[in-house]
Amino acid sequence: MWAQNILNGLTSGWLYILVAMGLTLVLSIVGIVQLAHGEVYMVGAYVVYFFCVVAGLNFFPALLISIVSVALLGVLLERFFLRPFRRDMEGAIITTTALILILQTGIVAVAGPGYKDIPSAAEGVLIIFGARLSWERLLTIIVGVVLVIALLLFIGKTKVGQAMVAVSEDRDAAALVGINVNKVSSVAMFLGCGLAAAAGGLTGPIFNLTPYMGGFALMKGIEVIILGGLGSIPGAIIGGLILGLLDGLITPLASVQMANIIGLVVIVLILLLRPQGLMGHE
Amino acid sequence: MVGLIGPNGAGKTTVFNLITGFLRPTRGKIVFNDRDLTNKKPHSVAAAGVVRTFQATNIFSNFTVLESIVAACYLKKTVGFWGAFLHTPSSRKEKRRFEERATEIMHFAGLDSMRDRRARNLAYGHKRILGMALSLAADPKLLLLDEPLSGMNAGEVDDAIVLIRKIYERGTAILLIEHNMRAAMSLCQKIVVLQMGKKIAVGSPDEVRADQRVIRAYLGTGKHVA
Amino acid sequence: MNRKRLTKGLGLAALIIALCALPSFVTGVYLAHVLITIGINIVLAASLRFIATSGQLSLAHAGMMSVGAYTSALLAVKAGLSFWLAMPLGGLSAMVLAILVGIPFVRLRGIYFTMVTLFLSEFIRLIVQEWKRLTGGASGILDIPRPGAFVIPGLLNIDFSIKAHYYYLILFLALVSLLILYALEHSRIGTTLFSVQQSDSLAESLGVDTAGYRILAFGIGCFFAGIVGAFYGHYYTGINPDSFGYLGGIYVLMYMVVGGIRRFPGPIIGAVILTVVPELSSGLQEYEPFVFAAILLIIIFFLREGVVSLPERIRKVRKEASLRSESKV
Repeated sequence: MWAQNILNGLTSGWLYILVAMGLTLVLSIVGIVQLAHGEVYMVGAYVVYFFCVVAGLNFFPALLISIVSVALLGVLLERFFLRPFRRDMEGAIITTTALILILQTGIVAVAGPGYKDIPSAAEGVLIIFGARLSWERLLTIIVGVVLVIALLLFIGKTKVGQAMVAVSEDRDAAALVGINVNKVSSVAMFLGCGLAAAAGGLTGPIFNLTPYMGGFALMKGIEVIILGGLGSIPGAIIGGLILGLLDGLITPLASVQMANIIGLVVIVLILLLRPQGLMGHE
Repeated sequence: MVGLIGPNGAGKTTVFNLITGFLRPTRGKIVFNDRDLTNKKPHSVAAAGVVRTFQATNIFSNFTVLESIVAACYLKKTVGFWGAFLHTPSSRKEKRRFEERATEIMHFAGLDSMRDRRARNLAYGHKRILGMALSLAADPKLLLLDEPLSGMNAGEVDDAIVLIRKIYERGTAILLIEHNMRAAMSLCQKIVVLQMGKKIAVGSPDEVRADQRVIRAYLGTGKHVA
Repeated sequence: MNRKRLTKGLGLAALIIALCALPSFVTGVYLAHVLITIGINIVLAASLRFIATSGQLSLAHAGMMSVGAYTSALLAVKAGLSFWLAMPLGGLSAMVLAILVGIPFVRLRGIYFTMVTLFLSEFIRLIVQEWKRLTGGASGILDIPRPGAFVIPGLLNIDFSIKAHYYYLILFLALVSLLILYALEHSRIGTTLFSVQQSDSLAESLGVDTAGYRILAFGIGCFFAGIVGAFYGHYYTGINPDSFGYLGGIYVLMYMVVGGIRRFPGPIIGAVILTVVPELSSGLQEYEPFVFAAILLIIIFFLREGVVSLPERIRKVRKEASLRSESKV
């Protein structure tokens, strides 16, 4: 039974990690307070829904289509809605709130406001030492880990990836050494939204979809970033796992709300006592 | 007037930050006029009579010059929260007093002609003078000037030196951080030299100028000091 | 100078009289509801702006409304307190909470402060939901009593049996709140807050207790959010944790920025526009948020300083046009 809870916690944890990593890329490289990141996640889930349930594709092709298409959508959004507000936090809040409304309303118009369901990509359970671990969740974790590893390799081993790191440290200095900051921003947005869409798609079979599921994802993403440290990828991993396990272990003991409350308290304490997060610098 | 000089990174601004409470000392005490200022918040240190200026230009960008100096008269307030909120006659009198005082200070600092200009629209040199004028409004007993002449052209430097001397002669003690050696030597009676956080020399300008340790600190151990 | 002030004052007086007389000419429950909602939003936006004068963007208003609403509702329902006592206590409890959390919170700057206020709103919502014994949990509190009658024999009999009476109440609350906020902003206190906003290190070096002033601004702003929350509860006669979700706090921020954060009338204008437009476009049903989003985008892209900056924008454009035509001579 405990194994179940830990598995659930790890699953939630990896979903949070994907969302948080996407958000951290947008926050620190594109330089925008992307309040609509949760809605990107939501749209990712709905695209999978459409290709799976309406068009009849298998889960994985649908997930791939969702990731790529939403990532491209993100690049467009960044170019026209976010870039003008790089140094303007108030403006960024307004424009991303507008995006939240547009994306939510768009999905409601197309799919209606009610709950939707995506059928499981993998049925059945794996039985290890008497614990029944659902393949669905194991698969989610595996895909999550693969995506994160791919991202880490991209950042560490490619020129663009390294350019992204430079931009996240100091945008002006990066521009001065010849990095095309706008292009790097677009790449970061592509990756960030792709990760969010992946998280959304993977969430689908486990939880229900609603057009309003984005707010929760954004909250968790922000919490993970604060816990792990803004701009820190390993921090996002550790933060996500901690929060995920917190949710997974406390929810069955108390309630979902209680897990959220405790999570919030931890985050606020971190902000007050160690604002750079567990792994952050500066 | 005491000068605080030393190569970059010696810790001069850090000394200011420690004295004025922007940084907490790990050891030791800061005493001013028999008052222990250690670990006090910056606004308490200012209230005790020690006011600092900033190395990077620090002004109230959106206020006009007049509004800025009026705002800086804060420590001279006589009316409390309720008086100010209810716009009592005393609060209006206080405002007039502040405006008169600000006008005096503007005149003293040579900023009269810029009275209604927005601070962010001032020329660089005037912004730094404004910074000093603001600190004067707080009526300091000890004024800590952090590189007031940095980035100024020759003409601005001369005007600033005149102003600093006037402030000193009006009765305010001054601790001056400056890289401009000519200014520091001509203004200060005593110079303290810092290097890497340590005091390496203290004395009159002439003594310090000739001190081998000071020369080495600035010029390295090169053999030719022409 | 004095004539300008006189005309402004007379104009304002005329406006207030017109607003007081409004229910006699304009009838209809729906219209009354819209006006009341505008009143609520005006107080929220103006008080949020007051917090912003110290340089802090707060998203705590949703949570503070909730605190005010629940305090007032519980005092009225469970302790039988009169609304006229419960409401101020609602505001006070929000203020006390704001001061208590403000003490650690004001150390945070910029986006971090905003985030932590967002979490506070969410935290309050979750606590209210969990503390079922006190707050009724997710079902909330129902049958909140109307405010007690306000009677001047022969002249007035306001017993809150019709919507118009609530309109008078919120009109009164809004006018008093705006008066207080205006007086504060145009006093030495306001000047000090603006100095903290522009450079807190400089203000601190000049003797201003910047942390203290930030807490003051936050406390006062949240007080009004609490008052309005209490009114909300007694007007709708029922509240639940979801009445005060954090999105509401973001909306108040919208009113403020769309109207214009730099001038006092800004948030008032923003509140009016962004309350009226969704009502006008309610015919569009589920597409209504598109209209709202469109307004946000139009303002943020074309009138960044807010609607309140429109007159001076027009002046600037006219000036440039006339300069250009002069140079062509």
